[in-house]
Amino acid sequence: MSDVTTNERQIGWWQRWRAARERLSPVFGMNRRNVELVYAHNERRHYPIADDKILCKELFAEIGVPVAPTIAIGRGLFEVDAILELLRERESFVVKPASGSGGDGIVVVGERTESGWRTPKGREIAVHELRHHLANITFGSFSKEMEDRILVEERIVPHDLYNAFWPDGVCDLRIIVLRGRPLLSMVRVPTRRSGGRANLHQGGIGVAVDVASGLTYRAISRGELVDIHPESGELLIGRTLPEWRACVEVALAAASAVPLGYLGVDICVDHRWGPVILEINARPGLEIQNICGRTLGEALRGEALP
Amino acid sequence: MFTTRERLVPSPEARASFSAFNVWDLFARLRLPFSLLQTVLMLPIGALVVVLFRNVIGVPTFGTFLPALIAASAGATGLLWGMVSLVIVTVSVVAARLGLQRLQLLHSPTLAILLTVVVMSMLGTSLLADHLALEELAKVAYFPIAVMAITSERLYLVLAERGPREGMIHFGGTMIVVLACYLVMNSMAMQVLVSGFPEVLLLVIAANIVLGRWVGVRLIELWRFRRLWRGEARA
Repeated sequence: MSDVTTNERQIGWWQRWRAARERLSPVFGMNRRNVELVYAHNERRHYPIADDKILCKELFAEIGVPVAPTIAIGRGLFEVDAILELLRERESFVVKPASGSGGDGIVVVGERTESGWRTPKGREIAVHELRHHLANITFGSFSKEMEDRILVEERIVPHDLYNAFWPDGVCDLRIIVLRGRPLLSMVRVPTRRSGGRANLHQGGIGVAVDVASGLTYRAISRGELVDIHPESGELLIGRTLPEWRACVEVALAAASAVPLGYLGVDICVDHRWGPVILEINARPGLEIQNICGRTLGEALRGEALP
Repeated sequence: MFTTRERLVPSPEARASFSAFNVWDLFARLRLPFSLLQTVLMLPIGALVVVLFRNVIGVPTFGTFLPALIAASAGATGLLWGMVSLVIVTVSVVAARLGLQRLQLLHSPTLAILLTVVVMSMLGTSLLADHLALEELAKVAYFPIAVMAITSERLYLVLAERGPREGMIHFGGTMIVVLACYLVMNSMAMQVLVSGFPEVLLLVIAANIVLGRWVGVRLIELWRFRRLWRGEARA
């Protein structure tokens, strides 16, 4: 009698182990992502394209992929004053380093004041402070290189739903694309903790989106499942994202414009222009699997959502 | 066997090196110290240990060779003083970064300042230790400054690009891997194996080729993706 129970227990243990192995097999770790996705589909010499926002914009413009309108490009310190002159009458704009990463060095301006500008969060920026920031960008303070270029764009005004998720920053929609196929997608929503940035490791909330329908089905904040944004109180799941079909089309078009087979396309839906490309990434992170509750292996095999 | 006897090899250890490439002979003829040969031969083994830690376990480190290099340097001074030097370098880099951040200097001069600060704090520690008659601690000055310079550069880059939290995680990871490298590189069995049969290095290459194509989930990633394979919490 006791022999039978031991045996059954052993079988139970073995089956659970096998089931866990089965579930683990489609999980993409860093090793597998690098060998099977990044090295297999992206040539190393093409990585810099993804890191250069100005070059990407030019490539996108060639085939009509929508991007935020460019106000100015500064190729060095000598152009800083000309850019300031150009911005003098502007109410709102965004300044970006061309090769910055993780949102470093991005300044959003929402309003003109007597002495300069004001950010949407109410911080005053005097003209000389902006000049200093522009100069720092050209010195490469926000990039890995010794110098960088300045990109000034019109400010994106997010679509109402994204604005409701979090009004003080830009939510971005990421779609992972492999050779013309959208695999996984999520929306990254900023929080106060993330300092208005949407990056997950800085405290942003990841919202899983069903690629087929554009319906949000799950949200994770700091590793915990949530239904609503803990700060804005907005319902995050069960929402249909605006212009979903257009978003996927724009992501695929952006992917086809660059010589990369596997990439993460970051999109923002503007309420006037519709989806525009923010940037692309040649080595998109793996956290999206945790957010979506779905492995890259399952997405590659085209399995339906659980 | 007979030919080895007739060739008049200098030491009994050297006799053990009856192998395809007789590096022992070469070092003897060039009058290079035996310990250098040991270190050179053990470096690839150390690098393999680092690869195992990085790609199979998932421990982040400063660079791929660096933990092996630090462990090799610690072989001469002793593990404790190697670790102490590493801590001194880390403290001085973090302090220097706090001071230099505001100045917004260009990259290369920053790193040159960093190296200077590291040299100064290593020598300073030695002087202080000597003054306090802590003979042992004074040894940190012997720790290879080239290795410490590379360490400080790596640490600075991680701190600048990925923040203090990541910097400390990398530092902790590096310490653990240095320890593992030290244990493997200084084990008598490994030393006898590799210096007796340097062909073992071909196996090291083979192991790296296998690891280079290995696409398994790293140990740390098992934890990171636990929700995806444990099954219970598939909300």
